[in-house]
Amino acid sequence: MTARATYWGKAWRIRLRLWRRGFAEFGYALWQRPVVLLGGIVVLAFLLAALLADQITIHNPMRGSLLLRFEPPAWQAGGKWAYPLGTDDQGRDLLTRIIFGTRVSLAVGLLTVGISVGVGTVLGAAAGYYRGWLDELLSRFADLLLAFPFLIFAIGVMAFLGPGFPNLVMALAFKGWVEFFRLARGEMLAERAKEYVFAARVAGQGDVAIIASEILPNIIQSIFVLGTLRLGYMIIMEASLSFIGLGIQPPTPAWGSMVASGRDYMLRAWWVATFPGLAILLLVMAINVFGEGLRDILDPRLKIE
Amino acid sequence: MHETSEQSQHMSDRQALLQVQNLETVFPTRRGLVRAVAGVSLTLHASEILGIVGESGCGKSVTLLSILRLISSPGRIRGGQIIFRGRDLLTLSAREMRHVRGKDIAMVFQDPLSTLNPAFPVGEQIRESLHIHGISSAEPHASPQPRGWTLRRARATSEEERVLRLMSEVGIASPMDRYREYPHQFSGGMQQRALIAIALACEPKVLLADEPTTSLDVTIQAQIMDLLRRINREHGTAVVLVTHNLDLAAEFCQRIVVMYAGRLVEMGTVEQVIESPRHPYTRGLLTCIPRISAERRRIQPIPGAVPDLAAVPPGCAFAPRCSNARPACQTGSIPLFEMETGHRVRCLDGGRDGRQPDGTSNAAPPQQSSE
Repeated sequence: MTARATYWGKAWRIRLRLWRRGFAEFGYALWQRPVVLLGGIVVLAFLLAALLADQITIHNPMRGSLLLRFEPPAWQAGGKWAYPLGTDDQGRDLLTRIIFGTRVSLAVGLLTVGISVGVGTVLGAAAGYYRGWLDELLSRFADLLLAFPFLIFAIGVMAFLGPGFPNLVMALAFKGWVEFFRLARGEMLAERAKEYVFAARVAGQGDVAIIASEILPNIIQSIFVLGTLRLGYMIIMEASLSFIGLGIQPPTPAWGSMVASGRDYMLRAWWVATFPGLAILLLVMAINVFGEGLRDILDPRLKIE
Repeated sequence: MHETSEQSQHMSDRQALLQVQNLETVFPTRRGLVRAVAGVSLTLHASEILGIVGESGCGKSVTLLSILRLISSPGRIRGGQIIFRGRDLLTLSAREMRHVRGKDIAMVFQDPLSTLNPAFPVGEQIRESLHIHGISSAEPHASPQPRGWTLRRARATSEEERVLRLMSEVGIASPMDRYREYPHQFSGGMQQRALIAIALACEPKVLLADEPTTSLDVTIQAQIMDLLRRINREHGTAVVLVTHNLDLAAEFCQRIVVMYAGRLVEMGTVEQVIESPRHPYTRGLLTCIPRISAERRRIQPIPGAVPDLAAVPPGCAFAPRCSNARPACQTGSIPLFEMETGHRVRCLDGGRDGRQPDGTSNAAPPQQSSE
């Protein structure tokens, strides 16, 4: 048993070392695709903003001053540089709130995708490898979940669970794993028929070792790529739910609810709804560009050699 | 032949390493039950090279897979025994069987590229094979449970050295450079060498080679066969070579088994089978090998086609294609006749001048008295 455990540890250490070696190659491929690189830089910028939100902002994201309601952006007549993007209906600095809103968006997105990848990959790999009743059961359940439109499903679950961060993640992940399940299952079905898998059995490897250290490394890249693409989608889902009031609750800054509250003042103060909306657009677009680029770089089927 | 002395030496220390007895492997299909292996018995002696020859679909590969118990469902082994070093492999638990695979009995495949895992460098794959059966930790100079980073590092290095040794042993030039290359960067011959290195990593007693050179060109073929022969000599690894190429088997093996429609039709030493073939099928195989010679000789194909394995005719399976077939050939089961020591034929023609039929056990019993 311990021999097997160290064997796995070993196998994965080898893998990690290879990945590290692959980074140089990866960096070069990225350099050749400036748009993808730009997308990556934007994503990285948002990530840093989320992590360092407390350090890089000077205003309080929760509490404003009613004397400063609807300050316009700095470049407009009457704008102040202390509030670069203006203030909202409660006199809170918009830029500060957008930066703090990044936290919610990325946290929900990463957490949801993380759970989905984990659950979906494990179940999909097991279903695709073992087939039989396990596959039947999981696939039918996945079909059932796929029959619901995501937003309607999420609205229903959130209405049932009530708003809030953990419930939001749960609601999104509850359906999010299906995509990864289907991908992992499909890839597994294709891989398990290949001869190297059979050779591994001939060499005396057990099922779990074959799945974890022979097949998974061959399909992990497409799962990773799908993960980045789904990240943008999950961020939109969070924003949508927050927009209709079922997601993150005010006063916690979340882009969706910021757009929703700004909607009422669209004619008086266009910036309140516009800038959070632009933030959603920019982040999701950057993630998608980066994800597509990753697919081009990582997918071995698109490689010429 | 120039190897006669060596062969008789092999014969004298005959020791059954692997005994297959009345093996029967079946696959249910829509057309009925296909008996891919229909009662095959054969014996593999320690450190010998045994060839299994036959057309596509005669059950030679299925025999190999049955030995490893890797027949995929719905196929199954319906009967027989596979005795390896005193144990019947068919009675082992799945876990025990896993320890036999790769460690005691290893296998080399036809298509090396698809057999290697595309995700990892070749060297790492060879190294990994040391881990599956805990070979590296059993090494005396390696600490069994290395603790700490430096020790682990040391163990990794000693393993890498071992992998490099293996790579150069199977003839991979400049193994240092090739260690980190991926399977697709290897040529076909080098891929096959890498696979042989993987198979050898655990120093198996038996190496099953399923058409190991079919996908390679002729010069590389010869090199790979030389390599297998060297491994057989130097490590005493018994080799079972499955091939449809009788020439190859004649040159490489010490004993040959000819299979037809899931049955063993003739077995014996290379001289016995090639120089005095007794079964019409073996003779047919020998006359349809094209030869390069000044006179243009038409190759003679065997008339007819391989029988549908779901509906093999009663009696001799080859009878419909055989020019000497008699009514007696189409009824009952044809026993194996012993022509001379070790030379057995499943043909009624052989029965005329052969010794009495040996119906119960078809495995070659040790013939030490006659040596």
